[in-house]
Amino acid sequence: MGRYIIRRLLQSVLTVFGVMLITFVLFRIIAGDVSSSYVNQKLGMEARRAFNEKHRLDRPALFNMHRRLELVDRTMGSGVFAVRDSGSSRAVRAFEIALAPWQPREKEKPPELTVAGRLVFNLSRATRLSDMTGHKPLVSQERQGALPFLVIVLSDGTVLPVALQTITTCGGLCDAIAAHPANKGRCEARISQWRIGQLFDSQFFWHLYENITFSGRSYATDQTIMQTIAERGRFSLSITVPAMALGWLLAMVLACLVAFYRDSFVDRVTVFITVLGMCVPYLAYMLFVQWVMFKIAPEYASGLASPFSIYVPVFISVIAGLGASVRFYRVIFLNEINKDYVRTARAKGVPLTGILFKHVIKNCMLPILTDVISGIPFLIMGALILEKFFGIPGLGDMLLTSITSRDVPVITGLTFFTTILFVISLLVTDILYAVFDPRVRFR
Amino acid sequence: MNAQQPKAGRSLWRDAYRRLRRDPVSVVCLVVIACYTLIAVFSPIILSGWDATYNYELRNRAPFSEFILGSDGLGRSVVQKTLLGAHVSMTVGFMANIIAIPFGLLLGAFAGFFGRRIDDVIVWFYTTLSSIPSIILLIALKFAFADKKIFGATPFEIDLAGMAGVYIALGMIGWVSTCRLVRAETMKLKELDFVVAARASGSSDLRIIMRHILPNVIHIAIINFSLGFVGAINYEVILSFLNIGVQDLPSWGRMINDARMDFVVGRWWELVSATAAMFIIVLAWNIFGDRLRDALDPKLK
Repeated sequence: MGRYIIRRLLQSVLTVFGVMLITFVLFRIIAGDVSSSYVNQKLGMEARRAFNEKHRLDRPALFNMHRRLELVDRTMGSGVFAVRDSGSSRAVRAFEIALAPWQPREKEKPPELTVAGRLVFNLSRATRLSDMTGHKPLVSQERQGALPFLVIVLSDGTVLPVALQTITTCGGLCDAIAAHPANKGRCEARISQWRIGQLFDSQFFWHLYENITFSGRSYATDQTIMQTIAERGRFSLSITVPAMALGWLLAMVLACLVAFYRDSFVDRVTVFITVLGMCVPYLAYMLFVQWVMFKIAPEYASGLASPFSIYVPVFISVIAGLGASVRFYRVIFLNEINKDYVRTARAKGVPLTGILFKHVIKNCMLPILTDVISGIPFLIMGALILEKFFGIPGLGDMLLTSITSRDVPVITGLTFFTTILFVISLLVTDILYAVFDPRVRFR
Repeated sequence: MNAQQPKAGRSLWRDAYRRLRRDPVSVVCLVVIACYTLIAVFSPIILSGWDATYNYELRNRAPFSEFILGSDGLGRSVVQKTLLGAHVSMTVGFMANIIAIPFGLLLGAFAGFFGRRIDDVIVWFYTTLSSIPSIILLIALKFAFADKKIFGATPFEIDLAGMAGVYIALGMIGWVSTCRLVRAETMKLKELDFVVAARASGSSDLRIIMRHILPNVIHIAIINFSLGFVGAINYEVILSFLNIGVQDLPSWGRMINDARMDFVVGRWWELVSATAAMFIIVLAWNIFGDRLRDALDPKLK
């Protein structure tokens, strides 16, 4: 028993991990660079880079094996340490050298100013400059033939123009800067140190961390997922809790009724109606009910202007889901009624009502409860479409909006939230089964 | 062949066929499905010029005036629009299953037959997929497919932004239920004597799966076909509601979605004809699926 629970727990952890992997691939890898939709185009590449830096989108995807080319200013002058291009060169943009001084992540500041270039996988002295720039040419098209320079301006005012024409590797660039006649040890170019802790400073591991702690921040509103859930969850719950309770109660009553009158006119008509109900598209239900509401009470037809308007989507949810659950519960009841102990009890003269309510319902509860519990997480998300349609600001509505606007942290955070609830409720039902049904074999 | 078999023997398929043929309800359902298929195949050919028939003089006409079922916002016949919509829905339903069912069948058979690590990986994969709400996956896939093409610059070019994207996305998430059932059935089957005998006589694993396991689980795939069909038709409507469904062809989902504003001001005909068309085919598939299940697998209820 204990081993079974541990095994199931392990499986659940793997499932949750799998979900995070899938959301990562679907929303981070395939979605690509989303900064253009959140940063004003007029602010240019610098603002987009800052956005990517803030949301850690500049990190490598899986493992951070990257290093960067650093330029260190040892003069500690009063001026501005900067790297510029000569008129003919585009080296700064090609290397993605940050113009603002880059701060290392340690607590104490090093005694020198640093500017850092682009993170490159496994950068070494032998790396070719053309690989580092992503094969972008260093010389602009219109000035072919001009000598490209990288102009380093140190904070004491010294200007070091480094000709890039003959340099092919990173090591060559470092040497050229060190050997520059005006340098005299004041500026050093080097390849950054790689630390083991840096390995997990990647998009994937930040994605895992943000999901598990619900600390991902929305691109659009800068709210954390926790705040979003706290703020909007109640709207979703206010639809789905009544819908679920009512739906379950109605389905149980109807299923009991048709099981009691099985193979009679009542049974056939009810089953036929539930089948018909299952065949109407969900959207048509919503449109029709909203239309009726517009006719009889237009103030409740949409939005949340009145607390009563929440019962319109609740009603739709109950009606649309009723058919499937009545049919499902009916089959469970009928299977139980056809068992030998029921026949024996009837043969001994116990009235059917007594058997039905005393024994059959009790024995049917396990599969029915499983069905109900496994539905809980999807209901906490709210009926996505219903919320969208009726303009209810719940989590489902938030999720749909953030998918269209590619608000990745919100999508992955909410998906993770649903999944974890789903996995937990599956775990609970499995353990309940194992505890209450001795026939279940542990495997 | 027949003479060598024992006289009482009747194959599962012939038996199921006999049961279905004797049941008038399933015959009617099958006829309905066949009619829809014919409409789906021929309506785009016959009504190929439908898009150009707009007429602003005749827009939003009520039924039984110039048009039998009225006209839409561009003055085109709603009857023809509904018939054309059958093409999208039937194609989506059919293609989604054509992708999903073989995939689920093979993965399920492999997982059930080989067990151990292969089983663990496949079970992990479908448990993971099924714990993400399918609508989220569907929307995500649809977005990932935006402005993407596969087999570009060949005669088989498929534009994933259009209808193909809808059914490929549906196919990619629809295989889970088939896989789960097939896996459970395969695990039972592989313990049976005929599989043990096949292995003893030196058949390879692949041969056992193809010749002995798959023919015995294929009825599950056929039963799931009807369920998947209904699911695909319903999802097409939801995707249209979210404006990421089929964009360039008339479909029932788009008609229902377009009718959101129309319905409130009393223009009901477009909504009603699309819903009715959908209702009939979904009903036919639901009932036929039940009968098929009873005929093919009396144990399942």
